[in-house]
Amino acid sequence: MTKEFAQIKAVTNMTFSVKKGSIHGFLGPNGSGKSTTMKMICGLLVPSSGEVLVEGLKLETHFDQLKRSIGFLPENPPLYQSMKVKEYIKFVAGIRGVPRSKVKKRVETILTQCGLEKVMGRRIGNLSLGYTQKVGVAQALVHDPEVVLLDEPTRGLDPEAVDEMRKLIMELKGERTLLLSSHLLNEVQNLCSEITIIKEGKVIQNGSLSEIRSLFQQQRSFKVEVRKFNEDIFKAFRVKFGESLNLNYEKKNEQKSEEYLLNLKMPKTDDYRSEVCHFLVEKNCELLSFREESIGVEEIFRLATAEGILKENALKESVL
Amino acid sequence: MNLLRGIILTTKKELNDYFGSPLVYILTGLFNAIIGWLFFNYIVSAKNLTLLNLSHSVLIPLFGNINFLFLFLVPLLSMKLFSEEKKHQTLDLLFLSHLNQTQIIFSKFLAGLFISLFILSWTIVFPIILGFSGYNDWGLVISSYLGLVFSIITYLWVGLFCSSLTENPIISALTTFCFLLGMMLMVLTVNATHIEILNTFFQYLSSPFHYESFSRGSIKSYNLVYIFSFSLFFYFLTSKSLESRRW
Repeated sequence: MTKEFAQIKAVTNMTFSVKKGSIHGFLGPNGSGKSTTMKMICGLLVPSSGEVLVEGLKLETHFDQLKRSIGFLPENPPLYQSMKVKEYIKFVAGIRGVPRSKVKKRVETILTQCGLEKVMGRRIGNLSLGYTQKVGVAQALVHDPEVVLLDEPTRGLDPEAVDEMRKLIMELKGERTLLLSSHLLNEVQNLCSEITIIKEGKVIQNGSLSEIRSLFQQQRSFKVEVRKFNEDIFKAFRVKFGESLNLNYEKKNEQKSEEYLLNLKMPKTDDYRSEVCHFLVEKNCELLSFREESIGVEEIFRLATAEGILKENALKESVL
Repeated sequence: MNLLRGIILTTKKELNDYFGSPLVYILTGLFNAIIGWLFFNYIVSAKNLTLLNLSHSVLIPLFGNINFLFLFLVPLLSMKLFSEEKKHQTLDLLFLSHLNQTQIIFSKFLAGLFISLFILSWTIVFPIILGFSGYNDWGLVISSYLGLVFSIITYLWVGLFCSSLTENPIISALTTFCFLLGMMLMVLTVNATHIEILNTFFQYLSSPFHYESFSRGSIKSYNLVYIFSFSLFFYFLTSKSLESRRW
């Protein structure tokens, strides 16, 4: 889909899909078109061209039917400041079509699920930011939607509140399809199996986290903890493996001077793990641990949104 | 979703908002104090307190003033109906709900009408006071109230439309007031030109002209056609204005 506002293209030919039952991370720098895209997905904005399909149905033509199965938490939660928490959730349940006989039970369930029982009698305007966001999530879930769009649910929250929000989102995993936009990339890494990265209204990466990781990870990186490592062994290592492996080392702890941390980088194409282990054992090093470090979402995001990648992708597309 | 349930829920929420703020109580008090003071003055300045004289010297001018005061009150009552929702992005919540656009607009309209009628209802005291003194032309009183209700309906539709245009309640109130006042002044200006066809045309478009028919107790079918078509036209404009948010 494409969205133009007064001749400014906020979103350009954006195409991506979200698997049913998954938590899909939606990343992009500020002003990249994330909120506009989310509003188009839930039908609050009509695309200038293109279409949104929810379970194979066109959103534009089946809006009244599909909006029943969509829950949306915008960047600024739509809250009536003068209302009390329970009163507000009850009101939203009513206008979202929860049957009258089930409203009471549903409201109680959602208040418990979102951890709002303590504040249910308080006015929304008097709540802290953490609780305000939780009320926003509660309004998006109260009608039990199949698709939930959360735009920056952890924005402005303290670490404890972020942790609670993460738990809440994790509880929804599998039950519902979630599209999650967040600046906290660690959260995305912990919660999402698939991600879409956008920049300037265009999709620059889309797919499973492992696929995108392998795309961006030029070398495999390992952390090796050993005892009895020294400069001679390091020189011998360089002689044996030459330029194929990149190694540097540091003392892990001053007091336990025997322990060293080796940072090892090897090409994606060759696997030298076995040879490295044998070498270290032969040199009488005590191997304490050997673990692979995968590239973080933060690094992927930085690389993907860097100017060069966009040009590189455009080049690849033109070649294809 | 049950059509009525949606409208009742949203109207109830709006009324809670109105009665939860001091604005309504201040406006009710101020409005009735002004009308009470005018009523007292009209009674004192009336030469003979006969039935005919009471109608022409007290009630007809009093109802005229009530109508004029609502020109100021309705913009203040309607200013927040949509602009506040737009400002706090709660309009998106309503659009994603099971309510359709017509239900949203009508629930706002009904809330505004209810509040306006609440303010107006206190003025019934004045004809009742006259009734204790032997006044019994209740047909004129009923017809005038009917005229006031229809005037308020037209003012409210303009207010709803203006409120849907902006996120700022003050701008909404000013636009509504300017529009309503402009409608009134337009007739005066056209009257001054003495061009009969223009006079008739603009008089028909102006709400006070139709109110006069009610206050005289001679309601014509075209008065009702005007109110219905005016409401429909502004409903259409409001609807398009809200729809344009998705474009």
